[in-house]
Amino acid sequence: MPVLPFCAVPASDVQPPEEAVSLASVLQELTSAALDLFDPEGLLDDFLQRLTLRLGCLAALCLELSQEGRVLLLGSAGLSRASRELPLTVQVEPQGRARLSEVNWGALSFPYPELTATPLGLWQFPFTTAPEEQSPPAALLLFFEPSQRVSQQYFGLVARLMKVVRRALHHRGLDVRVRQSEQRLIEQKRLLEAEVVDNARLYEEAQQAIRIREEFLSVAAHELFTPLTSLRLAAQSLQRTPSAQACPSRSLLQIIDGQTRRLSRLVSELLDVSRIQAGALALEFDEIDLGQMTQEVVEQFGPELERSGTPLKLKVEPGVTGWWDRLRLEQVLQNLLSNAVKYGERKPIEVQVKAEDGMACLVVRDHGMGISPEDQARIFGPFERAISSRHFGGLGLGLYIAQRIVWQLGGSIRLHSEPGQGAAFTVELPRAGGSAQRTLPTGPEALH
Amino acid sequence: MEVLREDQQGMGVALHIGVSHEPEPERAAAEATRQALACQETPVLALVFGSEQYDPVALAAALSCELGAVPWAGCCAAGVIVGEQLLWEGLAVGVFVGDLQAGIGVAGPVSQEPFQSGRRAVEQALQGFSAPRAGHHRGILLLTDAFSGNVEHVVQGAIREAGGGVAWAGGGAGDNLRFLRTAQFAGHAYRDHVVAVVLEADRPFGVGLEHGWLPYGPPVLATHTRGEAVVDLDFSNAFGVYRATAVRQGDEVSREDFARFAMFHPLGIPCASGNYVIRDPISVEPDGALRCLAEVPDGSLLRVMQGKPETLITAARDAACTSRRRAGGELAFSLVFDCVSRARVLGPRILEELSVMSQVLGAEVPMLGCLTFGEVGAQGVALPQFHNKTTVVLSLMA
Repeated sequence: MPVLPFCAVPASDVQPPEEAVSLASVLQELTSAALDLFDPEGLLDDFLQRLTLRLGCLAALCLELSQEGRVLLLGSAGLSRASRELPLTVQVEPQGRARLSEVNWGALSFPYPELTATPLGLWQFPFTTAPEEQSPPAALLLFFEPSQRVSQQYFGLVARLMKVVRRALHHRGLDVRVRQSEQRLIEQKRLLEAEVVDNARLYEEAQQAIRIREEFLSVAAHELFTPLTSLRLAAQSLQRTPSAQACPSRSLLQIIDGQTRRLSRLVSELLDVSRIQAGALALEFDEIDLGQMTQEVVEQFGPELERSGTPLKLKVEPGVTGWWDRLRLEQVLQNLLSNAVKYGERKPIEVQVKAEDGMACLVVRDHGMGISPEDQARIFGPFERAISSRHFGGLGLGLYIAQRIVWQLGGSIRLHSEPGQGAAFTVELPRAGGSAQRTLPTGPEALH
Repeated sequence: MEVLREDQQGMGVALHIGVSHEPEPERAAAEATRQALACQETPVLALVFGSEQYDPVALAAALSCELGAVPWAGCCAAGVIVGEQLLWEGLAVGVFVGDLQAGIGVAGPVSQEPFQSGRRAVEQALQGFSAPRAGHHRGILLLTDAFSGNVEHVVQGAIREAGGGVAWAGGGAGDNLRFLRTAQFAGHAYRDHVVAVVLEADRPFGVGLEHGWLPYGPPVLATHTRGEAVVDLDFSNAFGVYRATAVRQGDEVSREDFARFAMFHPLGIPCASGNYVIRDPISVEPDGALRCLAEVPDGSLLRVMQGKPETLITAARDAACTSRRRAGGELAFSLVFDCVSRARVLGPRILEELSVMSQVLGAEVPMLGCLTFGEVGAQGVALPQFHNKTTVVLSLMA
């Protein structure tokens, strides 16, 4: 491409007033166009096109030199779409990269047919597109037909305009980075919101699943309880008949009775869970002597203790009375004793009733396998157990029901255990009765 | 888009023009086409200009019938230029023959997407053209509806597609200043469209563009513009400033006779070359804004201009002269796009303007064109823009 420095007309050759008007007009318009570049929507190509039209250039190129010495086309006017799509393979001399002012942009050979038709004049304006010292050098190149008349003053005008353009491009660079950050934040916010919505949906699905499960348990327990009661009564009646005493199948009747009794207990537990979770566990308060009640329950457990070979030591402080629901409190003690027998490894069980700080205190301690710290928090949950159900029977509801009954009586239940050292369950009850009902947990922690 | 390649290398280029004054489209098309095709050479392209009296659809159908497979384009106009003649009513068909390649594109609606319409029309016209061959030159004619959209954006879109280094010419289709509707032709009749015609030849095109308007008032700053309307000049009501300018020169202008006065006193936007791009104010809006035929850049300094028949005719001669000089020798043809308002300003002397141009271009050089509603071209070798009240001449060396 034959390119020569463009020789402008000396200012004195032009009528001063007309020249001043033209200069002022072009400056006004192009400054406005340059300021448009501060708008992120403003296009460098649009500015270059207006610059080209007002100055009467043939073309304008905005070029940048990459770190690798490749020339990039930032914007243009006067190039066709086909030309703009041509790859720029020109390289700048190495010394050009070292000293920006010495980059001879005019020596570059461009592939654009628009710039090859005739010898052209060239104005070049070096600048940088970023404020950093090491930012890549760039240049605005204006191509003129040599016969075009343009005053020298316009060189200064364009140089001044390029200061505005440079600032606008710097600003756009910052603006782009800010917008990218904003976009990332928006994206993260959107993801978080989606996650919240997803969690809410999962929570709702889980709640729905629980409702279905509870409904199923309630219905199933009710439906099972009635025939089981009939079966158990029938078996007991058969056992009581005189002929049954000598019957060889008596032992079978005993098995049937034992298994229906066990089944009835399991179904009762399911029914209790259903009532607890529905908030329908009704209590009937009466004045109760805790020590006396404990003795009676322990006596009921005599055959089981005997069968398992587990000794039990009962220590009762007299006069520990209070207003509680007898049957439910018996149920609590039965559950604790049942666990102590089950996991006590036939080692002595200690049951203690005492009054402490105005509270009634019931302690059931075994010396069996104990419960690991990580299991201690969850064993009060429904269907939870410290040991696999393959080794011990039951539904894993006993401690859950016991805790909920104690809570409803206004008390608390604590566990102290170390693996291999046994476990001690301490029930503390207000002696005034269950009016101070504990607030039951709600929300996700109530999920089981 | 249609491209025809003429294989008869070295045979030169010629333009054969047929004319008809018949008022019926079918008869006019038949007569003008018969004359234009009488040369017996293989046509490359037909360029058609018809006065507004013809129904565009009927005219397009008749021309398609007469021209057969010959690709054709054009527009309706307030007047048709054929040599030194100006046809206020009539049809001209110019048939290009010889070593010339042509392509036609059409796109719209320019009222909705002016930039994209200009770009797409040129893109379509350039389909089938490869990169310019060494020693070959291109010219592009833009014929657009100037009533509907921002024509400056149409031109900018066209440039963005074709780039510089091309001889640009053309203008807005017109209807004799009634500002109702115009038609563009590209094998069919279109409204609210732009037609691009690409010509490629092995010889140079030359374009001349001049107007002859001179400063009348002092520079005033366009401090508020609204699209094609100048709302404020020097921070005051635009019409008030315009009227004050007239008063200082001893003239008077009111809202009622604004169109008549503005016909002789357009606005000029100064360029670095010292020349002016003319903007034609066509009406005063209720708020006193001056509605122009094309966009006035916000923040630009303007001057109210004035023209005299002598300066306008001299400018037309200069445009023809520049076109001939840039083409570089004897001419095969010249295409003229002359603003319709110049004809109004010049009155009967418009024929003098055409005569002067014809003499400069060469008495034997076929000259075809029309009175346009705004003109497309560049002052010197530069990118084109939209002008008003200007004469554009595109010539091809013989």
